Formats: sequence, C-alpha cells, structure tokens
Amino acid sequence: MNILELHDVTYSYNSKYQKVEAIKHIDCSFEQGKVYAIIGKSGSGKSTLLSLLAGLDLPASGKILFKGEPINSMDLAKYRRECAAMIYQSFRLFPLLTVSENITYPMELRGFKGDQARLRARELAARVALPESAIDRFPNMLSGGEQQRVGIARAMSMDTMLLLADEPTGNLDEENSCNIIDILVDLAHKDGYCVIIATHDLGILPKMDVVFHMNSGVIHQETRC
Amino acid sequence: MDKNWYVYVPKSSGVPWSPFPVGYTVGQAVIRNEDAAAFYARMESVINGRFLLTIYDQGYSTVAMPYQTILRVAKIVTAVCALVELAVVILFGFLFIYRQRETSETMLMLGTKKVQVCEYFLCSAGVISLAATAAGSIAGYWLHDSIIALVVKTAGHYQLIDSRYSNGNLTISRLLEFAPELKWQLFLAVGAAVFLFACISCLAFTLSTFLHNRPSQKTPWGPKKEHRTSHLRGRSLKYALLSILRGGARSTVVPILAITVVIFFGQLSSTALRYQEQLDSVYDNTTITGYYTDINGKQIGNLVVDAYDVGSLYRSGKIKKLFASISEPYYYLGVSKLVDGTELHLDPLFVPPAFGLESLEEEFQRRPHLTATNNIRNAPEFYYSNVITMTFLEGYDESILNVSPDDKRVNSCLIPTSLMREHNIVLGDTLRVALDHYYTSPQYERPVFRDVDLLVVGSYEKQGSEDTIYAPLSLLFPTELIWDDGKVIEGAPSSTFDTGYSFTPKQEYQLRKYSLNSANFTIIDSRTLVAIKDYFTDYGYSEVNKVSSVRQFVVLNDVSFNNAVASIKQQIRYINTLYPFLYLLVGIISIVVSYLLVISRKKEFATMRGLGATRVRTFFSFFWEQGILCVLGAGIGLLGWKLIIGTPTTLHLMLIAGFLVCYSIGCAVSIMIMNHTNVLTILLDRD
Repeated sequence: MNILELHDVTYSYNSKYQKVEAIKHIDCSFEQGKVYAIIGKSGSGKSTLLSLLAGLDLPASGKILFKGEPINSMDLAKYRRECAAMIYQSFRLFPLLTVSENITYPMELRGFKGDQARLRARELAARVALPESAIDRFPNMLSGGEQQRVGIARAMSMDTMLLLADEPTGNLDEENSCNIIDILVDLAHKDGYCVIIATHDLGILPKMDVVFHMNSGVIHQETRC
Repeated sequence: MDKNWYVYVPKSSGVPWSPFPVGYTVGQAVIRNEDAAAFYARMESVINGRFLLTIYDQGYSTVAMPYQTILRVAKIVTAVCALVELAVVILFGFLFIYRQRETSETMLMLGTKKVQVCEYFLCSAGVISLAATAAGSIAGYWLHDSIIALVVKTAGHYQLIDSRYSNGNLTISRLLEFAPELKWQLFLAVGAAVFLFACISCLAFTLSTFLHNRPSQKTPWGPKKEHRTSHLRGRSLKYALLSILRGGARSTVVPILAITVVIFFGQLSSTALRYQEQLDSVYDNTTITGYYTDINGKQIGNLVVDAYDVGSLYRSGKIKKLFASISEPYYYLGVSKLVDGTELHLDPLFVPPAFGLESLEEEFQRRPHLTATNNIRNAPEFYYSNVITMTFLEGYDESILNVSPDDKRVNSCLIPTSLMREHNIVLGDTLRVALDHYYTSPQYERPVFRDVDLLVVGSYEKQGSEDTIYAPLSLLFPTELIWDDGKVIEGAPSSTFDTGYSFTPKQEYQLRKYSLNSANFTIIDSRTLVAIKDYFTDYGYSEVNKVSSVRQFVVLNDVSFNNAVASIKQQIRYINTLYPFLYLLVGIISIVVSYLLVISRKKEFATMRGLGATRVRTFFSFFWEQGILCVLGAGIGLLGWKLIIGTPTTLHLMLIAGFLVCYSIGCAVSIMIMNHTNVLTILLDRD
C-alpha cells in the first residue's frame, strides 16, 4: 500500500539574485514496510525532497499525497506531528532538554500525560539501545551515535508510519552507522514503517529495498530485490 | 575705606550673591577670580550687619551659564560618541575578521605564516577603515562650522531670562562671544585615532583566530550536569521555565539588561525629579519683593510716588503685602502730657511775619521727619537692616502702626532713644510736634502751625542721623482708600481686589492728592513674577534708566531668584532634550537585544516546528521565556532600588513599563518573523 505518492512535484529556491530549481517534475511512490534510499551528489535535491515529504514546505507545483490525501490540503503542523517523522544528520535535539524530555516532546505535543510519555520514552530509548544512564542526560553529554539514537527514538515516539532520515549516519563512525541503519531497517521490516533515507553512504545500499538516484533534481529508480 | 577697588568675580556656588540691589558704597576691591570665595569668607567674618559685601562679575556669569551647560553636554556627547565609536570598531573587527576565521584557519592549514595572515587581514581591513576615517574626518572638518552655529543658536535660547524691572539690571551686562576655531589637525588626529583603533581591533580578532588553528570543532551547547527529567506538563510555559532554569549564562543576559535599565532609568528619573523638586522648592520658598525707586534705582525713600498708582498695584491682586510711608518734617514742641496723666501747657508754633516764615519754612526742611508707615522694618532707614532694637510700652507692639484712622490709637508713635534722652521723654508720655501746615487758630486768633499730640508707645535705636518719629500710616494718609476698612493689614488683599478692580473717580481724585515717600511690596507668589512684570509693562511703569509712560520706577528683587530658576530650568531643559533620546536609545537597544536573543534560537525553533509544534506553541515557548526573564530582572531591579534608594517614582515606573513593552514587542515581532521563516532552510543547514 502506498503511503506517499508524488505527482509531478517541483520545488525551487528563490533568492534575490537567482532561482534554483531543486526538484524537477518528480513522480514516485513509497510503500509501508519498506526501506528506501535516495542517493545522489551534493546539491542533487535529496534533502529538499525529503523535507517536502516531511511537510516542512509545500511543492511549487505537483502533488504529494499522504495515504491518498494531498498534504497541501492538510494542516502542515498537524501533518508533521502525526504523519511524518524526520531524523536529521545534525540530530536537532533540544540542548536544554534531557534525553527523556527530548523523546517525550512530540508526545506531549499530541497530548500524552507526563508519566505515560516518560514511560514510553524509556521503552523507546531501550529500543534504540540507549543506555539507561543516558535518559536524564543532556544531548551535549552524549556521543554522536547516542544523539542520533535519541533522534530516532524521538521520531518513533511520534507514532507515525513514515520515517524520513536525512543523512542519519553522516556524522557517525562506521560501527555506529551500521547500528543506526539496522535499527531503521528493523523498524521498516518488523514494525511496518516506511523508512526513507537520504544518504551518500553507498555501503548501506545492500540493506535497502528500493534505491532512488537523484541528479540535478530529477529522480531515477533502481529496483532492488 | 578710602580706597576705590573694583571687583570682577564669576558667579559660582562658593560665592554668594548679595540680595540687596542698592546701597551706599563704602569701598570696592578688585580680587582674583580664584580668591573670590576665600575673600568673601574672610570679609564676611569681619564686617558687621550694617555692611554688605556685594560681588559683581560684570554679567559674565549669566552669559557663561548656557555655555557651561553646552560644555557639559559636549563632554557627555563626546564620551558617548567615543564609546559608540569603540563599539563600532570592535563590531567591525568581529564582522570583518572573526566571521572569516575559517579563512584564517584554512590559510594556516595550508602552511601560511601567521604574519602573512595578519598582513592579509590588516591590509584588507586597513583599506576600508582608512577610507572610512578619511571620509569622516573630511566631513567633520567641513561640517563643524554649521554644527557650532547650531550649538550657539541653541545656547541663545537657553539664556532667555525675563529681566524686566529686575534688580539684575542695576549691574552691568556683557555679551560673550563664542566662536571657537577648530583646526584641521584636530580632525586629522581624531581620524588617525579611530583608524588606529580599527587596526588594533582587527589585529586582536586576527590573533584570536589563531587560537583555533584547525577547522572548527563544534560541541553542542547545553548544561554540563545531569538533571532530573521533567514531565513537560504546562506546555509552552513549562518549556520556557525549563529553558530559563537550565539556560545558565544565557538566562542571565535579559535580567542583567533589565536590572541595568531599571538602575539607569532610576538615575534619570530621580535626576529629573530632583531638579523639578528644586525648582518647586525655589518657587515655594522664595519671597520676591519690590520697591519704588528713582530713575537711577538708588533711592528707596524721599520719593514722590503717586498714591493712586500704589493703590492700583495693591488692588491688582498681584501683591500680598504693601508697605508705604509718608513723611513730613516736624518741629518738636515738647511733652504735652506726662505718663502719670499730668498735662503740661505748650504754646503752639506761631507763624512769624513774612521773612520769618520763609526762614522757618527753610528750617522745617532741615528738621527731622514724622514718618507715617505701616511697617517700620520696611521704612527706608531700616530697609537694609536685619536687626532693629525696639522697646514698647506694655500692651503695644509693631502692629500699632497698622491701625485704622478711626482707631483712638492712631496718635501713637515710636521715637528714637536719642530723642528720649535729649528731652527726658519716657514711654507713655505724650509729645507734641508741629507740622509744616499753618492755619489761623481761633484760640490765639493768629496763624499757627498745625500741631499733633503723639503718645510715645515705643522707642528704637536709630540707624540714621535723623530723629525720625514713626507713627501709624493712617495718621497722615487715608488708608481706607487703599485697604478694605482702612486698617492696614498684612496678607492677601480681599477677594474684591482682583485684577480689573478699579477705583471710582472720587477715590482716584482723593488718592491723586497724596504722594507717598516710599513704597515696597511683596508679590503674591514667585510663580506670578512674569504676570506682575506684565502688569507693570501694561500699566506703563518705568524701569531704571528706561522711562515709560508712567514716570514711576519700580524694581523687583528677583536677580537671585532668576539666576536660580534659570539655572535649574536650564538643567531641566537639558534633561528634557537629552533624556528622550536616551529613552529612545534604551527602547531600541531592548528591541535589538530581544531580536538577537530570539533569533539566536532559530534552530531550536525550527526543530519545534519540524516536530509539528504549532506557531502559537512556538510563539509562546519563546515569548514566555523572554517575558519572564525581563519581568524578573525588572522586578529584582525595582526591589533593589526600593531597598537601597527608596520608592521608585511614577516616571521611573512608567519608563520601566515602557522598557518592558519595548522588549515584549521586540520579542513578539522577532518570534513572528521567525515563525514566518522557511523552516526547511533552517533545518537543512548543516552545522
């Protein structure tokens, strides 16, 4: 079942002096339970595409359908809160909130009670193999790999079936990268998430179900077994 | 006292001014400006109460006052400009050098020598700063004439003192030329100094880039210790509180700013209030007197003052006390009744035949005077005296001089002790004096001079050479024509004596028949000084050496008052001119600081938005934090102010409220701007 469909999607950055067309007439779709990789050179439009899928902005033209409903007709904040979760290369954790608070933040946005949210935060932290001792620490006291795990746990806490990861291993060493990718793959294959990863890391491609190649805003699909 | 000296001294707080406008010069001295205060202190200790030491500065101080203020303002403005210049130079170094630290790091990585890196940055920054300082110096040199002209024009407005009828006109006034010439070397030196500071700033920032001689390794910012996890209940408010509690140094910026602003505004408002209180105090505690005089402003007695003019002044409602005297020469005839009631026979003063009368008339003019007055202390003899020694018969006091014409005590008098000793007069005796009016006596059937019996109810130590006898004003003047019931009272005129009340033609005719020998008065309120001057002008009164339609000369003793008020008003005007700019500056700073603090959190904001937080939620997450910190700082500042200084003034509170509003507006606008920023561009920014 397609969770996301893109129809003739374009997007451009408009600056004072020039207009850069980052996404050019993209048509593609994404299913639940699969892991997708979007690879391409820097500036090819991977992150922009991922951000559009995350509802951080709307395409200049074309449609993005979430479970058949165009996202431009939805409240984007609500869409981000309830439909799509994003994992960033630079983690994007709140520096003044503890690990637990960072994970519970999206739940609190959705009206979870404090104790209930905290309990779930502990479960999610355990799920991404964060040590128990890290739960009350602040992000600056964690390693890069641990911070990214917090980011994944936070994304999982949103209870969306769509996980978007923008260079999730970009700041991590090989071992940590491998662990993070494994977690994401597990989430797709075991829990039925649709996981879309934008990456430079060709080493992770064997673990991907579908690979999209982007070049100058144009996407090409490489089918995988 | 046989030397003539001239004294030229600038007015200063250490040199008191004489309140007395005229007097008898017994000596003059020229003293050095710096010795004026010491000279005054030394002389004051040796001269007695009958001598006054007056210091004249030829009017320079009055003219110099506004320039002193301008000098003070110039110093403040120069200091502020220097600080701003320093801040700009540091900002220039930061923006131009420190923001390019990656360039420096890259150059070092590629093996460039540090000296060469310094050369690179200093040359590029030097060209810009040299061009800027040169342009500034040239512009300053060409524009300084216009600026100084503007300053002089402003100073001209500051020296407006209403000097009409003022005793200040009895001194000499001079004009001070203010035409400083600024040489081009000054502008060159200032430009060179700024250029030098710019280079030093750039060099310092260049050296600071050497501390990071490898590509920047950014460590996430945050608390250094673990913290108990919060449940985050309370939504945006809770987030704001957590951010405040865990923000460390960041959370102290706004409170420190707010406390500084509270102290700053407290200083400003208390200064403004202090000057206003000083002004009110001067108005409340100053009694301004005035007097009728001659064309030169020298005489206060022996004048010919139209009683109608004096009456009109009293009934104008602009004065509250009027003291007048009317004198006639007298011829002492003797004691007509002893204190024990024994009556003694005295012949009247018979009018001699033709030439004898003429001689006697001349003799009268040399005789002492019977002065009818309503206040002995304001009589010309005692006008400049602080102490008068008087003795009264039991049941009598100075108020005897205020009785109405129909009062049986109208024939009372005070005589000098010298007269008492000369004629063996004691208090309670009744003496008889002849006045310079004669008539045909029915008793003697021949012309006699009019005589009058006066009960001696008091004595005084005379301060002049003449044996003046003081009697109630109503003895020689129909006081009922001016005062309500003829009783010469002190205090405000009755309500019917408001401006516009005029005498009937009959009253005017009667008053015009009398001329007073002296008259002085106290104005109702120092705040009405201009009003009474306007009255004098409208009436046509003449100023000293400046004759107008009415040849009556009046002087108001207001020079000290004018100087005090002008000085305070000048400060207030300076405050009123400068302070709004400072208020505006603080407002702008508060908006800029709030903007910078909010905008520095844009990644946090973008993360919130990326997680699906609504705009309202993000707005209040930051707004509560900034608002609480600002109010907290202002509260601490106010509490400290109350404990250390005292209760804050209304102006102080209003200014703080203004600051809070400005800061809140700055926050709100900044957050709204951030709320409309494309989240995507922030989130895709790779650290």
